[in-house]
Amino acid sequence: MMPDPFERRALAVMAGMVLLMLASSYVGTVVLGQDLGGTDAKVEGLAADSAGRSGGVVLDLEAEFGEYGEPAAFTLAGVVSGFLTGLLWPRAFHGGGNVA
Amino acid sequence: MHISDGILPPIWAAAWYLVAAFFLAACVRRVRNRTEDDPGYTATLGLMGAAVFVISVWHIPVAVTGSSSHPIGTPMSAVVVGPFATTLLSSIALFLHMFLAHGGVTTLGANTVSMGVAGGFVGYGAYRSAGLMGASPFASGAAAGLAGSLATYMTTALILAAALHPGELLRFWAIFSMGFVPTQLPLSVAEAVSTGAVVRYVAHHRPELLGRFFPGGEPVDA
Repeated sequence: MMPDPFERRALAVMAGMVLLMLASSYVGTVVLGQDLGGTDAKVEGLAADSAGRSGGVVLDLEAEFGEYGEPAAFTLAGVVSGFLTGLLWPRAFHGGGNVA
Repeated sequence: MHISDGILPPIWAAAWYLVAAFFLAACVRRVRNRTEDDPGYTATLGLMGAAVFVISVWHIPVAVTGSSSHPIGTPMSAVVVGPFATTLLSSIALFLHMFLAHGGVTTLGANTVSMGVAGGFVGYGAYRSAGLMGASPFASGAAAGLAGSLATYMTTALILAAALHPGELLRFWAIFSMGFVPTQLPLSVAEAVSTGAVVRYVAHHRPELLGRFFPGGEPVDA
């Protein structure tokens, strides 16, 4: 079954975003040798250190599930949310109001 | 804006919970009323909830700064379903983020205020202001994305500075804000473009969702 115009555009946007992220990751890690860690954690760490405090998380995915625990959890969450978004988008924006 | 457990002293964590609870009480009442008036609103809420959840943990590498960060999604949601509903959706998303090693139980109130209240209301305010000044749907959406994203991180910096260095609030607010800016600014610009694109799309397909600020729209209770 051929994708309709909306699906083609959505797939093109997704491919573009993935390529952009892959390119940025490649340049950051391979070319520039950076760790690309989260800004939230860096600023929060700076703030905590400046006040002599330390933070913790509810579920330490790396400690519980190993090196790939966090990427795997993010991938799973992204896939589930992505499918939900894809499922509801046409209903919300193309199917009118009686879709609840 | 995912402040972890243990960073905020208990009194500040409780204070932000109170602020968030005040907004959430208003949010629940408004969402209930709109859901009763328009059954289709539930599908749109579900869509925006899923979108905010995934967008706000979607780490995007910014090679030139050597770090990564994420957009927030709440300005887009605020334009489509209103800032009150967005605050509610962001609190649910932030609760689930705890299980992805982001945020915490004691900081859920503070994180809801920065992402949901600041991101949603500032974004919506920028969108409405731009619309009233005659900006296009894309430009209005872009204003929402840029203002909401920056407001979220400035609020996070303010929360951290107020809780950890109340005696030197302005100095540490500036320091923590500058920590966010290099990586967050390009992402805020990207969020502006993507929010503008979504608003233009919605203006084309469901203009009634955008309220009275654009042709074809009807008044919508935010």
